[in-house]
Amino acid sequence: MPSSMLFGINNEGRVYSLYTNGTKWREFPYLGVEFKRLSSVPNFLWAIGGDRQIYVHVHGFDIPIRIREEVYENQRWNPIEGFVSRLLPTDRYQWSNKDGTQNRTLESIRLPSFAWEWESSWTKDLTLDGQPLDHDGWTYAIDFPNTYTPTKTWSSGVRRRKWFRYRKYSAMNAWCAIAPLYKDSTQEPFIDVCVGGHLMPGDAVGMMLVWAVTAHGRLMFRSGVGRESPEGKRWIPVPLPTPHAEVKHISCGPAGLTWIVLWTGDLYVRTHVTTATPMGEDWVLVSPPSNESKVCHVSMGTHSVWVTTENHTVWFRRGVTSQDGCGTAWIEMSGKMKSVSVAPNDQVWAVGVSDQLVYYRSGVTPTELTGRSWRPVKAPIQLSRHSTQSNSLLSLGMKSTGTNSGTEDTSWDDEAASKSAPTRLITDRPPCDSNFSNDSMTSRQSSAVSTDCVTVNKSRLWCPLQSVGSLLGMEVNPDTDDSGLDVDTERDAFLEKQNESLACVQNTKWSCVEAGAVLVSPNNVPRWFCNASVSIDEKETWRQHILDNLEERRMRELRVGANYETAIEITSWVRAMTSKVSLEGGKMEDVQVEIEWNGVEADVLESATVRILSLDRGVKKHEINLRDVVHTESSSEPGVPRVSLYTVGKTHPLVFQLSTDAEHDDLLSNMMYVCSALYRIRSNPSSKSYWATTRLGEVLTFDPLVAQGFQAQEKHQFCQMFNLNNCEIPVTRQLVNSFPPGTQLSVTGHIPKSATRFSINLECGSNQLVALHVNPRFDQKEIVRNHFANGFWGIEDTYGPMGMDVGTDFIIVIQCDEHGFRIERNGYLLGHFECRLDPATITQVTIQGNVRPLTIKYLSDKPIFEESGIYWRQIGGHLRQVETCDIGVTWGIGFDKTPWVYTGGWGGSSLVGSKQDMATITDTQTFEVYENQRWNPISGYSARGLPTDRPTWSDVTGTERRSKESCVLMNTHWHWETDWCIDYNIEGGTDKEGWQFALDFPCVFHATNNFTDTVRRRRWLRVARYVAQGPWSELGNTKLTDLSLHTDTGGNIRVWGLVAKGDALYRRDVSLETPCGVSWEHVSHDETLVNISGYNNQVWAVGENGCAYWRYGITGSNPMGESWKCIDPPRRASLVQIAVGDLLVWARDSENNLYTRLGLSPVCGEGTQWQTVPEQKMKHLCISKREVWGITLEGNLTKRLGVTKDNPGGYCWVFTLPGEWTHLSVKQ
Amino acid sequence: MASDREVLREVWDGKLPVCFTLSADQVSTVGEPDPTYLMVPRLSYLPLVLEKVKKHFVKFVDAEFQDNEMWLEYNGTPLKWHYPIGLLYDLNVMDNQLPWNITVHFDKFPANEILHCPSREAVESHFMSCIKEADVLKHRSQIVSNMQKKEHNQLWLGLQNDKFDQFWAINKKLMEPGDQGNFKHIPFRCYQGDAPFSQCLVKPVTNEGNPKTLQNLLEEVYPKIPVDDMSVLVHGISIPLYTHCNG
Repeated sequence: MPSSMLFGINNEGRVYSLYTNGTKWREFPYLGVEFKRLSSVPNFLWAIGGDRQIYVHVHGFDIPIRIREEVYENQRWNPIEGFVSRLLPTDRYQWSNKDGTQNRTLESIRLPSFAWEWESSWTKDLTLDGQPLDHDGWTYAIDFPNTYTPTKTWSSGVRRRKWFRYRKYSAMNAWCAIAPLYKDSTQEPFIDVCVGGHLMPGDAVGMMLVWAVTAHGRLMFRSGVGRESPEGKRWIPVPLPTPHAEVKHISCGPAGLTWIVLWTGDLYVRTHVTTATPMGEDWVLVSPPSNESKVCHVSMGTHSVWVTTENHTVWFRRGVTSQDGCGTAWIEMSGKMKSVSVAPNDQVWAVGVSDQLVYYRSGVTPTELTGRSWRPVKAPIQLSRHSTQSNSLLSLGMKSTGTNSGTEDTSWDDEAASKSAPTRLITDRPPCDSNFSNDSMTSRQSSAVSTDCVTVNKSRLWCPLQSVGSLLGMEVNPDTDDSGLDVDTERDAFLEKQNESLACVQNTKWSCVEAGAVLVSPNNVPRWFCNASVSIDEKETWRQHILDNLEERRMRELRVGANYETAIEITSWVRAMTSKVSLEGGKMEDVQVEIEWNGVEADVLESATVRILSLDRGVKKHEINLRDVVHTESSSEPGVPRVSLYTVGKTHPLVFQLSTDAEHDDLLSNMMYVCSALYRIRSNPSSKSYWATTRLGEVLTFDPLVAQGFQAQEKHQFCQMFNLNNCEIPVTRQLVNSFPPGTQLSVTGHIPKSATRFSINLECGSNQLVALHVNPRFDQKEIVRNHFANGFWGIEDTYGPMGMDVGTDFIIVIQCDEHGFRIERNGYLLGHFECRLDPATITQVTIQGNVRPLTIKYLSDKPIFEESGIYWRQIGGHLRQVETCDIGVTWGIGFDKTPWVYTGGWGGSSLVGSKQDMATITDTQTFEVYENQRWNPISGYSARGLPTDRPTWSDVTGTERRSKESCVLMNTHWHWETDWCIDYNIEGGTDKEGWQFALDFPCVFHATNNFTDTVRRRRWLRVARYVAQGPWSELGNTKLTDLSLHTDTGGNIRVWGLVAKGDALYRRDVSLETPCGVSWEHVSHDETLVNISGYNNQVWAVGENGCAYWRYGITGSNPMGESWKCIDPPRRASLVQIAVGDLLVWARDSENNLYTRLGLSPVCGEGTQWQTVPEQKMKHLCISKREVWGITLEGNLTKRLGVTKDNPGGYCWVFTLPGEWTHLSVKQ
Repeated sequence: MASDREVLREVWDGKLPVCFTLSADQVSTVGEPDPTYLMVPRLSYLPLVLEKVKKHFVKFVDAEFQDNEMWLEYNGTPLKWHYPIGLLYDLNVMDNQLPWNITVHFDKFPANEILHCPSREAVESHFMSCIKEADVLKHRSQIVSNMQKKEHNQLWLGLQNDKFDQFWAINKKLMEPGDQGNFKHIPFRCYQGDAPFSQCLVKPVTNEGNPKTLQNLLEEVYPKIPVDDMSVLVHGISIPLYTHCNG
């Protein structure tokens, strides 16, 4: 769950935020304005300042709010002058919008308010639907309302071109003042503001509803507020239920439900608040809960309304639904509260009356919206390093209790005239980050400067009549703004750790709490309630003391007993269970499964086996040595828990089908424990590890350093033996790691008496390319060495004595070193053979001629994936993609696009592992079901369709029957987050009930029921959430669609990400110490990017349009580069994935065909052309420097052999690791 | 603390070097048998670790006594089988003397001083009753009674076979804090010399909501004795008074 924030105002008017993954309140930078009221939705905070003006604060965005303004320039041809800007009287404007209906000259397009700035100047669009245009960007057509083509023909009568320019909301992370109603801001100040409606059904543009109440009791609606225009356009007065009514308070729920409280205590509900009529239409009176005490405060979530009265009684309104906003009855709640704030998911917070603490209502669930009890939030305040007033905060701690309590009206009037500057941007750019002690001083100065600027600018900029939005006193640069409200909470956590010594203030008195932006799930409550008064230091000392003493105890006891036998011998342990098992892809049968392991001490096992026995244990059907296990993964289907056990050399896994999820977790956990103990894995994977994910989101990692100790080895090399006894000659064996320097091959065999000659060939791809030909010729008494390429043999090397004879055994050793092949026969050096072909392209060895070969021994520096000893362990987590770099920083992306950073732990959920570095990990999955109906003349639309129709409940294509009941959760780690609800945000739009209409079923659906429509459908959605423990910590709240990690030559970690909207982000300052980095930098680009990959200052991306983009100008000092350069895709192909290595670029198109880029060099990073890699389709590509890995369409892992700088396409795919792999990341 | 694997592992790994000697009056053979030396887990119980000892000594004992119940004695004190071994050592051995010299007897069972131990099952049922008692204090017995038989079994086998992971896989459930983030009460026993152990209901947090320290606990158990006058051993070590009971 992404971290969200609860806001509060203390009794001094300071704003604080509390992160759901944090433990301390953090103060917003104080800039001279106190606040009285807050209202929030995620990322947007509206507030009433102490000057009783309205401020808006936009935060938590990693990418700026950017709007593309477009203008079309139109021209018409005439025979004399050619194309000119003079148009016919009936024509459109010379400068217009796309369909020509509006006059839009470049000059007339202004910034909507001073919170915006232009990011670029007007530019011509030089592409049309992805095709490049000439440098003027004109497109031609016969006449205006027509299709435009890039080329001019004889019939082209008109032409147009598109100009575009970006504007950016520049007041990000700053308080931005909204212009007052009158020029004199004290004339009609505001007393309340609320924001809501960010989850209105049917809203596709991200609109929000902002309402405000003036001191005269008038109600104002802010028009045009949305995610792309945070400050809105203007205030519109809203008529009140009765002419003399005066509003005191207003609250607006996430779905647009709006209640007002009058000074008389009357409650009214606004009706018909929809996306079409955001201001609503009418008022409905709701009788107040009691006659004794007037209602003074109201707050609402999606399904609940809570009010407090002047005597601080809390009431819950029962029966509030999305259809009926008024509810049915009042329920009195226990406890006295000053005010209540309800979160969008109906969780409730409140401020107590006497103690002024913030309370959380525990036990609020969808079925029990009233909850159980009030629980105080015990989070201390962390004094922000931005805080300008830390001293006064402490000293003033007791000063002003009561001024804000309940009867605000009196206290407000006193200060009314004190602040007169109507328009101001309050920003808090810390001038020098490093110098904390000066921070307060300088930031105070900067706020003073900003106020000064206002006075200068005010008269010139102010526009009282239209009130067109916020006016800013000074320009800001959000890129460098570092407010207390950080975008990334990891950094907060990091800083929190660092600043542990900072003073913490307990027992703050709160005047207001605002929960509109907080998302807390009742079964996963944040750590706000534990007593945080125990500082870690204190705990550390006694813990350390205990540990030291325990160690001393052990030393003392061991010193004496070093040679003693242990009283309890470690015996073998057998775990037995009943399960269904499928052997070798066969049928499921009931068996008894026994896992037995033996060891001499705990956690160090000598051997372990899995035995499959018949149910009566009489017959042993199968036995697996766990040393042969490659990996275990869950292969469950919903409701059917399964575990697949993959062993070396077998294409089919051993599949266990368990009866319960608990048994499934138990088996996986046991397997992982046994295998880890077998391989002595007791730590996190090394930086050289391979990371992969599977279909079900399990994370697997393979550590070559672990394998090194266990694969049969000589001189620390990985070894593979081929037994060639009784093989037919010629015989060929693949060399899975090629033959780079360091590799060695020994061939033994017997030479028959009749032999004349035989040969050992190291071949590249096929026998048409032989890098080394070793050819003992007994008839000529010499050993010939040569190479074969382009159909010709090279120059023979025959130097050296024969050294072997017919009728004897022989051993020939070929070793590749920096100079070439060193060849030995029968233990004596024969000579060196210079490499004439790149030894890294060698793929296989072939032995032919008169010889009886016995064995081939192949020694390689890299793990040999065909041999046993290659164990992929589960690391815990639920991720779609994991990316790593070669120095030990690893990131992942969940199925819901949340980015995660690896913490260095292992295990989690059901897996055994480290206890440290574990965090709660979550993921979400949305289930969708389509409800289809056909119209008939009698009953109208009904579920009765034609026999040929799709089922009433189906998937999107209508081919698969799918009902609400058939959507079941995968396992017990999942739970339903929501109930089934209708989706209104579907392409084509919907009507009020979510229906979409069409002529017939396989047609395009639209929102309105036309005369000709005969079918309709609507989409139901239900969200499931996965919760488990894992070694991952969540990163920020920006969702990522793709990710790339790599290191440059300087050892700096470069992290690039892509967000859902297609923008690229670069992560600043990622290092081993701060693996989560510091902040995202936005790298703007006009195309939507879908995939990204990088290697050592080379970054490539793929756009949604299928083009590749190469980032130009990346250097060690400018890691973000200069600009994207479009690289046209291969002909008729639309690229979807790119993988970058050391002067190596591979790409994959939408058909899963593969391409490699030719002509790459250090000076020409973008290469020259694409070359098809024909053999096999892959659904995923991964490059580690010069190694290319792929995942086949079936989900098997495979490697490309023979890839070098000069032969980027390689020769063949070697070995497969079967499994349900979906993603791999290797960086070495 | 229940999630602090490092400490748990150290506590679990505590093993005492013990020198077992056959009581001189039991030797029926000509030569005296050599003593036998063993490392015994502190957390285990004596009947679980004596198999090797019995095997070693039984051939030196008069056939008449060979099938008798074996019992142990240190410095003249018979050792109670139902106390964990580490506790027996901490109670009886004053000066941290190692190895721990234990005398083995096959005769004259001091039935008025110690209990008979008929079988391993007796140890198991004693151990499980201790676990249940602690769970009553921690969670009002909700966890242990919801466990399956095989989980109970795994817990016991984990202890019997000295398997840390096997034991803690189950025991971690028992050590999970309750709804309030705390146990209901702290499960503890204070042993003092030969006296029966002291025990009372102690909540893990003070009335002010702060976690209780060892000092708080001792003050509640022994209100009359100044804390500074006590010497407290937990698992054979002294721990700081400000250690949190619920840490």
